[in-house]
Amino acid sequence: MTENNTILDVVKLTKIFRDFWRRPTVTAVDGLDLSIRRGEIFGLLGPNGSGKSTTIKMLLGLLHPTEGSISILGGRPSDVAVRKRIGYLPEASYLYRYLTPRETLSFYGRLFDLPAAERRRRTEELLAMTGLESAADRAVGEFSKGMARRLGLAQALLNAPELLILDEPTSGLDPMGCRQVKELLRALADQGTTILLTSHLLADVEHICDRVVIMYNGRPRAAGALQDLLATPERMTLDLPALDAAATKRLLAVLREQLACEPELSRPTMNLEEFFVRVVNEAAEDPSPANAAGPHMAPFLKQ
Amino acid sequence: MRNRILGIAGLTIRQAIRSRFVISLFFLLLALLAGFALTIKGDGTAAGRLQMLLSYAMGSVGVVLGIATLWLACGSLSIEIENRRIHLVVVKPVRTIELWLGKWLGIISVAMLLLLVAGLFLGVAGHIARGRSHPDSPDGRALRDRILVARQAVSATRVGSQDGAAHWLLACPAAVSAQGVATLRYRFVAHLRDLPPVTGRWTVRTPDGATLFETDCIASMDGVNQLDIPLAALRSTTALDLIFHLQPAGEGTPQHVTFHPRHDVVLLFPCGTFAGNLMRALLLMFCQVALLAALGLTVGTIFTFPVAMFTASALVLATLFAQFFVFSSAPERSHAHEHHHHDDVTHVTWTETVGEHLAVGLRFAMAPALRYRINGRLAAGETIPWTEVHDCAGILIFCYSGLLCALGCLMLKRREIALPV
Repeated sequence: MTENNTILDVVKLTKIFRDFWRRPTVTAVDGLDLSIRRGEIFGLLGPNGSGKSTTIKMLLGLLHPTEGSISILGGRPSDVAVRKRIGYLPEASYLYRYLTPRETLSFYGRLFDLPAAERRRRTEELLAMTGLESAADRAVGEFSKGMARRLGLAQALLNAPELLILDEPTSGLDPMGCRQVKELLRALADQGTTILLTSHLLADVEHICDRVVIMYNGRPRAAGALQDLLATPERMTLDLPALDAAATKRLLAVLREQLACEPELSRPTMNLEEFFVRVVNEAAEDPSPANAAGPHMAPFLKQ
Repeated sequence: MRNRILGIAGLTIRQAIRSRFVISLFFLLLALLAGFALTIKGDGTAAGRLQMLLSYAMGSVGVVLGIATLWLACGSLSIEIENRRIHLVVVKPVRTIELWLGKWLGIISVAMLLLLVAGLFLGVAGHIARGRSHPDSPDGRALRDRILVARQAVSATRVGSQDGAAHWLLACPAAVSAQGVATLRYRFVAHLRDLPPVTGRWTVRTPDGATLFETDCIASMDGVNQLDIPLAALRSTTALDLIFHLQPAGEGTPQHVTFHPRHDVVLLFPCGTFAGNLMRALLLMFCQVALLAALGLTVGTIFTFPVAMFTASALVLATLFAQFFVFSSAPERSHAHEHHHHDDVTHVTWTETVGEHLAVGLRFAMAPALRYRINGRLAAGETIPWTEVHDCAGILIFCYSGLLCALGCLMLKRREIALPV
């Protein structure tokens, strides 16, 4: 990777919150260094209060760093030209409750200065992609958390962003929705979109992230490619088709001879999410709105 | 830029409508206006009733709409900052000025809509009053010539007294219509209440002494007196000489009168229609409401909603009452100053001094914004010229609102939007 491929460069980022009298109350982020490359899915992990959301808000210009520097898409977070190229999904979907999804997307489209025809096209494509077509004219105030989340994701993709910043993108979604979002994010990353996300659902992060940083009390505690961080060189897994009892016994005997310890034999299982998706897909004879929101991508995002 | 501003304005209007703010205010205004129309009796004449309706209605609409606009404006940004909906807007390529202007345009559009409703109601009320009264009856004539008309007020210049008569000079407007009447308006100083009316004679002459119009009159000692002069009599001249002869009627009636020094003798010439005047009055009110919207929005960028509403209301009240602080504190101060030399010192505390200076400063700063009167003039059939509307728009919208816009944008730019409130 060359330097030009760096989308986000954060150096010694620090945020100290202060009270009314300017006395420091808490150091939310403490000397964070971060560099994200184009086309990467980067995970920002950590328990509650570890500084993930504060970091994201500083990257977006919603909070001002106490110390350190941020270079995002070659500019500062407050640059209008930079904001044109960013999509953002906040931790809660801060949508206008009196608007319908169609009006919501049209409004945010206007903020990106999209021409009316293009705005309409993208709105319809995103509504289809997120499975909100049938609810397109209902007030957002009536939506469930999952539906609001889908609309939040749609508005984040409205400008076909180069950098997508997602705070808990799968929170509130059902397993089908979670899977679709993960597939969508993977497809977007394959096309060159850079994604920075935070999540408490570590399985989600493990499935889709290329690199992660784990934060605790505002400080990065571990960072790197997932493959490197999760590798266990002292252990090995042998993946075989199921053997009969006699063959298994012979194999274990051979292994016992080679190893100093007793080998562990188990049958691999699907994870619950895979099983759930298989059952629901088999059960769904008619395409429900959730199923209609398939893993397909809005055509304008493919361009 | 235009797209973004209009988008934010449209959102503000939609929110105001769908949150039932507009509909509630619409029915409140209608109820208020209908209540006035049904209950006001005035002096029993159609002209008196309509005059009072116009005066009360315009005043009430101004107050209700002013408070509602301030409320809407104070909450527009501060509530969105509190509930964090603003996060999804400010991370888009929106400049702070676009955000401020969009909100402001949305709020003043809502105010404009409601003002139009009030204007339409008053226009219809005027039309009905005209239709119900006979055009040749005294009441019908008063309605037509004094209320449902726009009249240009020309002040007369006192040139002294001669042979017990008071004299004024007055320049006629360039174009005087041949039909209708001009109204002479004057007022006496009355030191006692319930004085009997005085009788006198008004004479209108050309500067070279030719009499154009002459009439006896019975004038009230307190209140405003009005005298109609046919315009046909005034057409041939560009200047007028006005003369008043007091004619004491007998014992118990005033033997001399003093014209009120702060109320000029004024001749009102018809120069336009009531509909046009009502529209200009509404435009003046719109400019004032637009300034309140700007104030509310800017204060809302600094404080949370309740604090913003309190602060903005306090600023408006302080501005309106600044003159009373100045008047009430000035005599005390001079009084204290006199006593200082006699060692009987009544101290002027530093808080009084600071308060007075603040009041004087506020009054000085806001004086240009406070000089536009609306309802009294509309109800008196006095014209509100277009030049005044232009001035008002320039001062209230471009100067004051522009300054508030700059301040609001600066605050928005400097503020950390995501900080907990």
